[in-house]
Amino acid sequence: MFGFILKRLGSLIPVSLGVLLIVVGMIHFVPGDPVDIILGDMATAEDKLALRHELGLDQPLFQQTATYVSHAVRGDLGQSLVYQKSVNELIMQRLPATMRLAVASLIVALLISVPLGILAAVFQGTKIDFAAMSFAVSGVAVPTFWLGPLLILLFSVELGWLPVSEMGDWKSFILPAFTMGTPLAAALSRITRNSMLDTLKEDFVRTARAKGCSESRVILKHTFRNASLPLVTVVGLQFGVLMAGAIITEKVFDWPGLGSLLVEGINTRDYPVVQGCVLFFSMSYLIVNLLTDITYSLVDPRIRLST
Amino acid sequence: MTTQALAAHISPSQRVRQKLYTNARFWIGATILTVTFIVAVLAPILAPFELGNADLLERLCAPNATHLLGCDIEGEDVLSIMLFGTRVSLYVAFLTVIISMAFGTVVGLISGYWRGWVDSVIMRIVDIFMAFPGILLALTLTAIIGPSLYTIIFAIAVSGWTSTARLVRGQVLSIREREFVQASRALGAQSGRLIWKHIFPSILTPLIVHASFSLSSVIIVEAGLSFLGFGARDSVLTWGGLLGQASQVEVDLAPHLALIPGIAIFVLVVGLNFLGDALRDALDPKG
Repeated sequence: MFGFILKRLGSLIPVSLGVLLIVVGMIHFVPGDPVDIILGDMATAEDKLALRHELGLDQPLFQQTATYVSHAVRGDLGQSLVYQKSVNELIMQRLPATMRLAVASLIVALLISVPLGILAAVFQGTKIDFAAMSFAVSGVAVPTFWLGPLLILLFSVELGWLPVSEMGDWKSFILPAFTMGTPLAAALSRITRNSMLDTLKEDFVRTARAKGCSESRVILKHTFRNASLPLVTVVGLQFGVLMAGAIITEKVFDWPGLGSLLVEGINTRDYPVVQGCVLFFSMSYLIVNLLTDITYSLVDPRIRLST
Repeated sequence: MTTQALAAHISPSQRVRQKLYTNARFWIGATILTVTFIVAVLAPILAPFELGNADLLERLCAPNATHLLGCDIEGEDVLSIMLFGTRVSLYVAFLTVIISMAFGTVVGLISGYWRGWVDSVIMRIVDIFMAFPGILLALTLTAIIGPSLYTIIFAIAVSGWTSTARLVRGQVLSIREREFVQASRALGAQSGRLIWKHIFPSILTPLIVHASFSLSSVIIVEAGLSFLGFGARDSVLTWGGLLGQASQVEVDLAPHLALIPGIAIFVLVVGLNFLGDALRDALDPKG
């Protein structure tokens, strides 16, 4: 087990370095001189020189990367050009809002997908199955930037039940969580259904029925508990995607999270903030994937034996 | 003759066709895609107004007898924008998928065929690009380079080629060990011929299925970028571009701006997903 974890950690190092290289190199994709773009035409030569030095652009690319990496490893993502604060501080300020939204969306997604997937599998081939799978197909296709305004129009503007936007009490979480959770719920309900169908064919399910267990006990205790393993993996893998998906949902609901910080950074050409946010999103995604792999290998030893 | 015996007389291609034609999802998906193509081709005939003739007095007007789907933020007819936008949206989606899949296929073929250190290096690069979840890489690239139609195509292709590369590599790793490839190699076939004549045709089936799902995801990502304000500004508005306008005004001020392109995107994406599902079911030899 320890060897497996070490191996997975080892594979994370070159990938993290590659991500860092792309994050540092990004600024060189800016057409023209990034300093001119940030400061505009009115800036003096001294200001430009100072900013060039502050951003490290007066150094060769290799050295820029090395400097950024050595700072990033120590948790220093640089200084924002607009907010006059460190990027770390800004990320830490905005992170809780995004995390809360991501967790709320995950809860919504599981609350919808698990019962739906179980029902679809138990009633395979019936109208219930058809309805559940129609939701799965359409839910994946519904863009969050469309569903969000639609929900606002219905529940906030027409019915006046829920707040339009901005983070506040629990009510303010409902619409953003549904917006972000629906596509995930659609994907998860399909996985739950398929996994349940596979498990329902297993011998131990037949044995449980033969022993005289009630149907609800067979479905929930025997089948679902075993069928939930792929769900755990997908939930883990989707959590990073969910956080990045917050970029759009946060824009729709004016949510003060990391996604809005990234978009603000882009709009104000605050490149250290952009780099910091992109790096943070990617690294959290990599770490969540790693933790999912490790958790899964603890549950299913075949995973670590096959690698 | 029993049903099984009859089925045994059907050729594989006939079986695929039979499975496709009896699948309702195939017909729904194919109809949606065909109608979208026809709309794109006939846009100049179908559009009630020429683009570029904005009437400022009609800004954000609700759907009415003259403007059936209302007007946009500049007073342009939304129906006409939607019709012309179909062309641009399809153009962006198809070009992006062609570029990213062509690149991903070449990389996947090289990686899976040569294996060894070439495969290790390529797969680490794939892992690096896959470390940017969802829309993140495309958004950052578009924003940094500057939003234009070709930047968007480039940015989405850069973040999208990895899934094709992984898919192709996996397929090649298994196909290169099959008897017909081994036999051809034993007869002295060169690597280029083996890849082009034997391996590539065998991976076309999963690639076609992958293409339909890729198209739907590119349409959503392009619209998402436009919604965030990083859409193309150098051409006719795409469907996503209209959604981008919707995000600039209060949602209850002009709900049609968000609703109409959203419905078009939703219907097309559902159609493409249906098509992908049906193709996957029909082309699956185990099915």
